[in-house]
Amino acid sequence: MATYTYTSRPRALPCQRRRYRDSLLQPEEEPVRYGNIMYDRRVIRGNTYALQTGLLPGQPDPVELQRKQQAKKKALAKKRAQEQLKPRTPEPVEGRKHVDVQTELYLEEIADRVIEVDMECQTDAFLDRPPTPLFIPARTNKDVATEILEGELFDFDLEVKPMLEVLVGKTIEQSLLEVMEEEELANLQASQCAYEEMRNVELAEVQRLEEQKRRHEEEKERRKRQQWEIVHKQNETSQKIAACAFAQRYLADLLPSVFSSLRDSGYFYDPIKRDIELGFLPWLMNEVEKTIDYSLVGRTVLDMLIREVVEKRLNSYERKEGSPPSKWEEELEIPERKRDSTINYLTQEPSTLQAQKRLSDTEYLRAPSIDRGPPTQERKPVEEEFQGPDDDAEMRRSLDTEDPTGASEL
Amino acid sequence: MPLPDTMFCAQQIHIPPELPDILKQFTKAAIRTQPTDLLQWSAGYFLALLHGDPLPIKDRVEMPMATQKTDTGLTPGLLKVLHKQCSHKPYVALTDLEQKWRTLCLPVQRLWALLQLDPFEDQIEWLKFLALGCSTLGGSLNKAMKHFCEILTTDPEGGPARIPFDTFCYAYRYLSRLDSDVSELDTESYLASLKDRVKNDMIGLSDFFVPQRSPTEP
Repeated sequence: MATYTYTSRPRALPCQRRRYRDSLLQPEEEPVRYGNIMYDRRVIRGNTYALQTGLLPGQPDPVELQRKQQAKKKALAKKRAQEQLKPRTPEPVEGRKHVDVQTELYLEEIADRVIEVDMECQTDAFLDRPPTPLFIPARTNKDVATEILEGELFDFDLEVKPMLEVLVGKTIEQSLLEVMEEEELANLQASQCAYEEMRNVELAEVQRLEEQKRRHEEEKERRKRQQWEIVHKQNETSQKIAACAFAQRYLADLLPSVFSSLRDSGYFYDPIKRDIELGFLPWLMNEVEKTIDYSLVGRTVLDMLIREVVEKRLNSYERKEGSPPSKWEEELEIPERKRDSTINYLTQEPSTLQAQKRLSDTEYLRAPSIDRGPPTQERKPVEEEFQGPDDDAEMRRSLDTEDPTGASEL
Repeated sequence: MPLPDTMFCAQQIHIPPELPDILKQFTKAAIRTQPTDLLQWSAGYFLALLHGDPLPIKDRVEMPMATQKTDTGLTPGLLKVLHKQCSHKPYVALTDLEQKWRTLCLPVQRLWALLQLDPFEDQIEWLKFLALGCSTLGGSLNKAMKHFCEILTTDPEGGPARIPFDTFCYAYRYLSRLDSDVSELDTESYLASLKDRVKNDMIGLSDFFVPQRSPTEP
């Protein structure tokens, strides 16, 4: 079976504001007012969660109000319509007036005040249903009496027995239980206390032992440290002693060696010696030098004299004859050479003098130097010159000595 | 039994409301104390209850001690009961003591024997009597002192039973004086050595008494 479907073309719903016409005069057909649902008061707009769902009890429902108003209006309109439709008497002719007249046989007084009579009536209040009367059937029995003496109906001992049993039994049971409980608790407590006591004692003992042990340890430590210190000190002392002894031995011949080295390097000097060295000997050398210089100067002067003389004689001889120059050339040469040598002497004199001076200054004790060629050569001739005043002999000797130098020329 | 005549049924019997309580207390006391003569003891109990005196009940159920050499009937518990009853005054009248002794169903001869150790007239210093009692309980002086401490202490049971040192000294001196074996010098030296171990003037069991442990214990 197909599901129910309903389709209709969408159409605008007319706005039904008025169901009835207000007056007959209004035309029947009016353009149907179509209401915009946007402005329809029935359509809820806005949030629906904050809407008042119900009405306050004091206020009247607006819808209800509206309905009531509408109903009123309807009623009014209906009434008016009815009024209009009702047949009425025509209006009085001009000059006349309608009057109400009684036409019955017997006139009745028409008074404004209506005769009123009050009549009341009331029903009785409801009464409760009465209780059912006890059904006491008629007595059909006989009365009989009897006498009861004390102790016949009720025997205290008998009656009280179960009570007593319960009382005593329960009491005993309960008290026994309680005693046992208390006893157990007390036992527990006691054993706990005893245990604690024992524990305390043992703890105290342990602490004491610990304390003792600690003290022993401390003592041991202290003794060890003391001992170590002693040993250390001993070691140090022995080391010091050894070092001292060694140093002493090492430095034993320090003093003599120091002194000897100092002496060697000349820090210890005999002042007289030093004085001689410093003062006397240089002076002596100076004096010697001076003397030698004097002699040298003297010799030089002498040489110059001789040279002059020889030159004069040569000049005189040359003037005399300018022949066999060999001997005289030799002699010329010789004097030239002699001149040269004298020149050499002259030029070299300062140097030799200086050299000699140097020699005298530094190495007076040592053997004379060996590498000075010219000074030795010159010394020899100086010596030779010093030795003999013989000119020719000197010249020959000088020739001889100068042969190796002048051999090539010859 | 003065009953009204109109009692018909058991439900009308009236039980006084205090009765169950009294009965219960009495039963419990009886169970705890285990007197040999119940009637005697009950009389003493109710008399004490009536006068408002401390009741002759043991605080703990005491199992009969197997180590009791002589059947004196006197146990530490009973001594404690006596102590509870008599300790509020320093001196106890002899008649009073005798009555209390009887209430506990102890043989009176023992009382006389005890009192012969240190004769009194009609007033006994309670501490001395207690010390005497303790000495009959234990064998040695030390054991007697142990019982003495346990009875006098206010510490919970099982804990360190501490009593003031002066009391201890007093009791010790008294007992050692009665005991001819121990010389006074020894007593004094012992007490002096104990004094060093005492803290806040209270001497406890552990200070002078070393309990003998069984070899099986760890």
